[in-house]
Amino acid sequence: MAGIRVRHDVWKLSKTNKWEPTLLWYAKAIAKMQTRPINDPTSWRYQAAIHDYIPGSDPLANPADVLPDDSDRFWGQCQHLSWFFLPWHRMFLFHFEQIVADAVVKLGGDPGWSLPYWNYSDTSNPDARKLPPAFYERTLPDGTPNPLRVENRQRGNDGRIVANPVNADIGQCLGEPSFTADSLGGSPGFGGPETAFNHGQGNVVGMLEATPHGNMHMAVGDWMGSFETAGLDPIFWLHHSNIDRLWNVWRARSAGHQNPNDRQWLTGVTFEFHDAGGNIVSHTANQVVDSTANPLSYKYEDEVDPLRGIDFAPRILSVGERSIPEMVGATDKPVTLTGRPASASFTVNPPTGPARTLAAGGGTPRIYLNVENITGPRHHTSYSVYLNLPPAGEPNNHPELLAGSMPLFGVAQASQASDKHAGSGLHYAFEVSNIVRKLEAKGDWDPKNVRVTFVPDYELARTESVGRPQATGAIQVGRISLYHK
Amino acid sequence: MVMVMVQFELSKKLVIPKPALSARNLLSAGSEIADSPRLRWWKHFTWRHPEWWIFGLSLLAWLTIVVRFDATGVGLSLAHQHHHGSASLLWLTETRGWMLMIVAMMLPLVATSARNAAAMSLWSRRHRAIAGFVLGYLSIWLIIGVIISLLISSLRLHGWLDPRIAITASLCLVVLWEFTSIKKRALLACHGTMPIAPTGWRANLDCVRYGWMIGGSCLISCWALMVMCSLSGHNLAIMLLATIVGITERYPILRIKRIAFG
Repeated sequence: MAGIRVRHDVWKLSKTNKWEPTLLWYAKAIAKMQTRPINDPTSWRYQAAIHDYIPGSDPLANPADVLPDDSDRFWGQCQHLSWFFLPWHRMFLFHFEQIVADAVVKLGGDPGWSLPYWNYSDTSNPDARKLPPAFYERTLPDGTPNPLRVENRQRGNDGRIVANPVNADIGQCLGEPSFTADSLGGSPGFGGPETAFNHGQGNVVGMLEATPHGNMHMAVGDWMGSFETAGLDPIFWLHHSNIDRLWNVWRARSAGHQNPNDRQWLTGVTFEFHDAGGNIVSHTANQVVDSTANPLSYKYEDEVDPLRGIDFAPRILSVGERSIPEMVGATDKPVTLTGRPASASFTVNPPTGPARTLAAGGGTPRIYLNVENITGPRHHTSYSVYLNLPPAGEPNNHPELLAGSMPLFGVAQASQASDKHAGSGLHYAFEVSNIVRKLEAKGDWDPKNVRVTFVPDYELARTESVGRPQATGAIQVGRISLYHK
Repeated sequence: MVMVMVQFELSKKLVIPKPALSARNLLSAGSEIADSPRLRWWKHFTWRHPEWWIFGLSLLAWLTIVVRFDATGVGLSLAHQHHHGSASLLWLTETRGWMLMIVAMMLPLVATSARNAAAMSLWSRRHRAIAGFVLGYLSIWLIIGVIISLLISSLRLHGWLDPRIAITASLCLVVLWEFTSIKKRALLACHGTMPIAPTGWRANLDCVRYGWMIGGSCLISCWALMVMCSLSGHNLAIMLLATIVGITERYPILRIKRIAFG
């Protein structure tokens, strides 16, 4: 294992010293990178722009800016709503880490600096869902401004919890056996749907990309809440380091958890970046599947399965995992979300296709609730989605009816038809098999009146310290549907 | 339509729950035909690809084009024009050629969207959903086709259309159009989705609207290619080439290697 760098848990680093050297050098390196012009591939703003860049939405725009000639080639490349979400972000983080490490050495630090990770899902740490202090202190120990602090964060700069436990839940995604999403209506997969190069073009959101990834973007909010500004917040990189770690955890927790072996995923798309020397480098997904192998050569301090092999919710397996999702019911008009709880009802019909055949053959179909064509302006919240929540029911009293969480990260981009987006919006799919079975057992399942309730997270958290609404326009849900598979 | 009916009948027989997936039950029922591996394969294929029959329509259109193609090189719509063509007949012929071309070349390009329309519909409605989608999709091409065919047939009638100049000019137009941001945007929009109501007239209408939506994007994306094919007199080689271009840019996932985007 010689030469393997270790990425450490930021909260373990911070417990004894909030300015532990890894964090202090991170801050100093960022300050250095921020002095570089935007057309320098090793500058702070260039690195953030690789994720996405919208000229009119750059909060740091300066009349003196000279944008690089090849910005179309290297900027706005982030892969979302795609099975490239994990490999692309792994490449992105690796080169960022190399650039920071190079700056650390140039500033007099030790070589071998590695990017920490923010494990907000660590249930043994009561502070896990808070920002580490180094990220909101106003100054560095030497009294200079702290570049790790971003003033306009929606949450976290007060040292309080930024997210509720549902936002940081990893039980659902780690329990999903398939990396790749099913065809329309079924499982979104651990790693997302099969796509070509996909900069957030409307597909179903993969389970890890949804929760905790999208939720934690929303939890910190503001710059973190949008593709084009997320990389400007230093916590972004530690957040994605944790998402990258969870990929390793998922792979290791079961022999059945396999990455795609499809050539399109492995070598079908080549992604380009700049290394610490500013040279163009390119990678395909097959080069980054093993983080301990060259060229990556890193591992995480903790890659132990937090669920100890036990699924958060016992899975109901179909007879044929590759069976075809069958739509059995849907709403017939859009639902508008205005920052208050909202509900919609629809009728579920008996399956007449593959799901019926499956049931007749002794199988138990899995059931998926789909929330489709979610469109709207930039929005910094997540909605919790409940199935058959009583009309006067208090959501917090019914965790057993929670289907999942619906972060609105990227909703603005996914809603606008452009040369990188189809404009169809976001699409979430939640497995609700267990909820439906329990409701049926209790006699509370009426196929003629299936009720779905959306509750914004700050409503759920109004009695806690987390969350405040940031209304930025209504969100429209095009359709809610139920699929059997 | 006959093929659609056959598919409906086939589905009715094969989706019967009692014996459907259980080989033992099928055998005990003496249903050797239903247990045929080929039929089972076909059943699962049509479950997964309910849009299969639009490929059948496309194939029929290609066959018609090939059969009617004038081997002397003047092409499909020109085959009738010079010697017995009135203006309206020419227009009609040109429009027919346009629509044959759209069905042959463009329908396979929207197979994924047609499958989406089916997947977003109740199982019993999935072929109706595809039919509605195809109706909407073709109708927008028909409206434009009528106008373009009027222009082209008029030019031909008056002898103002030199085939070589027309093909060269339209080829230049195709190349220029390929690099515009409008084209790129429209191409992405061809992969869009929209909500479809589950039942009733709204479900039918939504499928037609979905076809319109995708058809509109396709029209913006591929109009130059199709005009080039029309100006060539629906030359078979040019149509095949344009089809390959359309498939390659519509489904980049088929590409062996792709460096970034744009």
